[in-house]
Amino acid sequence: MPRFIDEAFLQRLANLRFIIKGRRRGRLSGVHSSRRAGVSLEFSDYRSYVPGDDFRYIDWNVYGRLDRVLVKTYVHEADLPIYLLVDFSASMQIGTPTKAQYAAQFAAAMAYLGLKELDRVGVYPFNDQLVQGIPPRHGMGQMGKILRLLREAEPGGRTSLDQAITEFLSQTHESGIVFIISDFLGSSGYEEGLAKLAHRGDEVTVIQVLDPADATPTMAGTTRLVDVESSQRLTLSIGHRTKEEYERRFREYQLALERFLLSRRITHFQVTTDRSMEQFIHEDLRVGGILR
Amino acid sequence: MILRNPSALYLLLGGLLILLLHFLRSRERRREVSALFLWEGLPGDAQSKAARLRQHIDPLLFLQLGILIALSFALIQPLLRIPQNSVSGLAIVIDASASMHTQTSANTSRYQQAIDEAITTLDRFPAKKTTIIQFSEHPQLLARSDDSADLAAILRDSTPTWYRDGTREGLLTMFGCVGGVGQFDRIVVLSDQPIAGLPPQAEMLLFNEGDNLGITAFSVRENTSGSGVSAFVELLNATDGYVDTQIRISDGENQATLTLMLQPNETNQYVIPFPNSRGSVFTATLDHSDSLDADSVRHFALDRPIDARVLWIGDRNRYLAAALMASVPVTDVQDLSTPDLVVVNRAQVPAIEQGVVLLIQSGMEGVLTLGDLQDVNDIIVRSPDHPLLQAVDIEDFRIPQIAEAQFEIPVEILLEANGLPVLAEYRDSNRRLIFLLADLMTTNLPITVDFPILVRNLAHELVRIPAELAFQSPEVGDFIPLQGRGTVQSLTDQQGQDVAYSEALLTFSPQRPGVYTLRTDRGAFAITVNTPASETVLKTSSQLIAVATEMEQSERLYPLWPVLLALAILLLLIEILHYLGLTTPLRRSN
Repeated sequence: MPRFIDEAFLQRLANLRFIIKGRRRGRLSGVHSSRRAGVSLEFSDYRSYVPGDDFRYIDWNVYGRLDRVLVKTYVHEADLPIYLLVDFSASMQIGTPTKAQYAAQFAAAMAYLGLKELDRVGVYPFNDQLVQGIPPRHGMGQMGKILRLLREAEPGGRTSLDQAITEFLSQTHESGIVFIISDFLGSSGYEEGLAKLAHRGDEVTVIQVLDPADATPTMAGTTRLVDVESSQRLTLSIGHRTKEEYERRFREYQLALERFLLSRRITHFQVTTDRSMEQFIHEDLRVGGILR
Repeated sequence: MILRNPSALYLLLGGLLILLLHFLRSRERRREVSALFLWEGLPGDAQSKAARLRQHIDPLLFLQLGILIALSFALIQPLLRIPQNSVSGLAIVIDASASMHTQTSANTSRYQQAIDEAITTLDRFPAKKTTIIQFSEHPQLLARSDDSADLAAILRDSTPTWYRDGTREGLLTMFGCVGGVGQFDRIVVLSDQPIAGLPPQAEMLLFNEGDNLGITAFSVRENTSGSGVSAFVELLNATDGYVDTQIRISDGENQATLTLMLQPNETNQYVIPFPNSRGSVFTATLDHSDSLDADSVRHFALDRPIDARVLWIGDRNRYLAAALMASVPVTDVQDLSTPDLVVVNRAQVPAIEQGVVLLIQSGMEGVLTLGDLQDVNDIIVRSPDHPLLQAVDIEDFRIPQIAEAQFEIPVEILLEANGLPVLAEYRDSNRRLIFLLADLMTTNLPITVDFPILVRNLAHELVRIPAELAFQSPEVGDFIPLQGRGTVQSLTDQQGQDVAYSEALLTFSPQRPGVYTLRTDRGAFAITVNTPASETVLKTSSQLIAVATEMEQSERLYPLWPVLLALAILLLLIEILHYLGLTTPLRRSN
């Protein structure tokens, strides 16, 4: 078990389940409902018999009373793939623990919850492009692969969410539950990729992982600022007013992100790495309607 | 505040290293950020300098500097001297020995310095009862009062003695006489010599400034040849340099000198010939000005009378008497058995079988018969090398008449005129006879310059009594016996003032150096008293160290290093806690 997630932590997640807002289609039976009617235990409706229908679904009691051959249809409880897109760009290596470690721990927790509910879970690390990920699969064997990938992934490179999502969409043709775990602190934009994703019909949840210093910088005095992704430098005399101006600019950036996500009906959670992962999952995600 | 290990102050230089590291770290401030685009275009803060300053005022830096300072001062081992004001019993012991006369560079004496310090002590430590002891070989209670003004006045009026240094036993005895050491909370000892074994509440201050060159021993011995003396002198050069000086030996009439070069901090003995001396009291003088002049002069007296007991027979000639008294102290006697000199003036006497007799135009039965007066002219010297004629020029002598003499004994003619003896001498084992065959009052001798010289030669040659061998010279404070010199009649000092002595014990204890005169029925004797040789002390080269050491031992000093060490540990703990408290947010911001 990797250090960023342990068995006791997973046991405390055992009672949690995903809440899916809409019915999604799935290829295999699972605990998530699909709008596609099919064989299941939950009755849905009747329809007239057409040649080719399975005789086992003809309701003979109705035929006896109404003299009409009707076929019972059921709500098809299909499995939904859970995609975990984890940002491993260089900006994620900031902080202690690093944002990448926090993101990996969260991704592992979500993967565990999905696989526990017999869902297929896939993980796709990315920076300015999609890194070789793990396609969605069932079973706890998949969990081992996911953990190994998350543990071995090293942050690096720039962030390009648009490019990464575009590549993700080209590799996956089935919509599902998509968690995008990133700090969203990239200059290359995120709107186009998220729009494409929402358009495909995926249930997208954005988990924005930030270092406390991202929102409230602690440095003071003349400081050489180095962009961890581009290595660009900027020397600035930082005082109280400069920090206030930065914080104001950061709040505007966040507000723009939240507005965009809201317009696309994408759920958004912001968490800083000094917050307990367990508290975040048990409190924020449950209150936010992601888990129950 | 006393610092036992001042060299530990150098540890404070470590603060520069801490500051250097701190500012170097500050200069290297470099922060990686997730998104530089959020910082781009931000205006620099006008308050950034103040912010940077605030950043530099790092609590950890101050804690580190505080720890360094506390540790450094703990290693310095500071001792806090807390004055003990308002003590119940205060004793001030002032060394009043002879060496306290020593002058210092401040044109004051060691004793005066000690008095000033004593008065300061009175002001610093007002006590219910203050006792002041003048400490020396013979300690005495100077004052005991609770009125500091009175005590200060008594101190100012006091003078040092010429006694030797006192001893610890003497001091403790003195304390015993005033109620014991235990009644004093504080004892302040002001001296120029360290005193070992003082009570624990004693604080000692040393005043030993000044260079000294002194005579530590002086004696005179008559030469075995019978002419003159030899002087033995011991000199101590208690300075740090070579000294060129001259020692002068005087008997009041003649003197002998010796030029010397004295090595630093060494004692040397010298024998100085004094062949032409005929005196009994000698003074050795060192021609060198130093901080203590008292030991640059030392006296010595041969143990014999210094006066001449004279018996007059016939008319007492006042010119002759005056000339005798100018030469030696003269005591007139009436008993024929005791005089040193019998003067027979214009008289006929029976034979005198012993002693010294001066016959002036006088006859003696069985020795000399005087005849008629004869007119004479020029006087001729027959025995120019005779001691009686030493330094005598007879050119001015005018003698118109002399008595014709018929000697029945062989005599040596010293002067003659017209073939007749004017001055003659006879000596045998028992007596010595000098014959002047002219009437003094008919000559011009009393008004000539050379007549007193002739009389002086007579006094010194005829009255001389061999001295007992003695090499010890009494010193101030000694109990000097007066026995063995006859019945004491008086004892006077150099100024002729009577000096008290014990009639029962026949001793006296001189308080000042000098030449005292003891008069007995057997004559006058000189008693020389000198400054104690032990007071010609070597100057302590480590004067200040000695003071500091004594102060440490005697002051009520409180070591501060445990407090400083505890402070350093406390600061270290605070730093650890502070560091741990700041670790997480600091690292996050990296």
